[in-house]
Amino acid sequence: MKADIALSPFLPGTHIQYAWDSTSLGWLKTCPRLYQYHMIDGWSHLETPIHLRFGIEYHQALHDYEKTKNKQLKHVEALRETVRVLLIRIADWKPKPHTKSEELKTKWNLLRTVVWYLEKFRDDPAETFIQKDGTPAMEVSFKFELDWGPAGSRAFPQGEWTQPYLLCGHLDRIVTFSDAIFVMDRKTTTSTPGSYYFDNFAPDNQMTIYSFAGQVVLDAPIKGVIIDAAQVGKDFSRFVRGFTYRTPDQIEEWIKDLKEWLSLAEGYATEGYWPQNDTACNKFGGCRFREICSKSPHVREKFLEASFEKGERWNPLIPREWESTMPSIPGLVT
Amino acid sequence: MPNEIDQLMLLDPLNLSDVDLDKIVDYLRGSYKTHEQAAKFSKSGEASDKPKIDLEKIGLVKAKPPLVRRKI
Repeated sequence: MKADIALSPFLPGTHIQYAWDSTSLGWLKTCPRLYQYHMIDGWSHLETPIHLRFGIEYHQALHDYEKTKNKQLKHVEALRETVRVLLIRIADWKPKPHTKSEELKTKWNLLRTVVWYLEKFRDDPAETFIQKDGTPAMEVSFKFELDWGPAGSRAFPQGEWTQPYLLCGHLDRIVTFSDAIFVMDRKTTTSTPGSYYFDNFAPDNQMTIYSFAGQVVLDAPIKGVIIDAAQVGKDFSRFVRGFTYRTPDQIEEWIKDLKEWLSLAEGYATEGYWPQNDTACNKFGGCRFREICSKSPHVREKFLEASFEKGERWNPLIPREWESTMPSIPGLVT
Repeated sequence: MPNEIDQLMLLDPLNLSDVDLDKIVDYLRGSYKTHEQAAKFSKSGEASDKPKIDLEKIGLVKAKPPLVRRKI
């Protein structure tokens, strides 16, 4: 329903995308064909991938706890309510793991990771930043204009952009830590979050967008991004925080590159052809569309129909709306 | 996981009372404490009651020759 009434991220009547977020930009940078399958054609897997669902539930549970805690509930009461709604939400979830890593993302391990995290960071040294309007900076959706737009949106050569590019997204949390402001991003992983893990975030498309967006949204100097990693093991969960920084020069370079990437995307959209990047098929445990791309072009549609479905297309313009899953608690004034 | 927690996890979450939920939460908080304590002790080596294996003695590692410092 929301997608119907939401604005399209594409220029009317074209496949030229003007509203971008880290997800759609990540697809484009990884492989234009992957971008086409998701963004243009709207294919999505029949089953929500386990890692994705686990991550969504983890984020939602921690968000629920923060919201409940802000209603002046004690830690144990907030924990109880967080666990209650989490169990209700995942009651119908029947994960079917295909990999060793997916085997660790069980419902019980999710519950344990949430409770252990909230125990560990009960007195969190990273405090949620309070915005100018007095609200805590949690799940901050952002959307801002870049100073250029698609060539197709120029009314006449060298004229004004009628539609500039937009950069959109969500910041999990903005925190103050050691007298500096950081964007905090939560991740769950089954690998050990050591230096090898954290090195993957520099350079990194998502983290650079967050550093850039944090500065624009808050109009305050953001020192960097804290990656709040939760390792999910068989019988334990472990939490490690790592830092990634971007200098103004690095952000400037990223914007320069972005101009090139968006120009490429406009070219693909104008041509109506998004080429495969066959060096990316094995990345991140293997692309979900690898099986499709390995088939002859004329039979791919049939295979897509068998394993995927066309649903709502990803829309960077829809702000993340955290479900109000928390039940009303008797005697609590909200 | 104790049998009681196991049983609670099998119930319809809508039927779980506050007491049931507290049992689950208490169990998880307890397991966190146990894990943290074990991790602390194993780091400091204080509470390790495991026998130490001398790899040199069983011939898996060659004994290092003593370091001789030459006088200049």
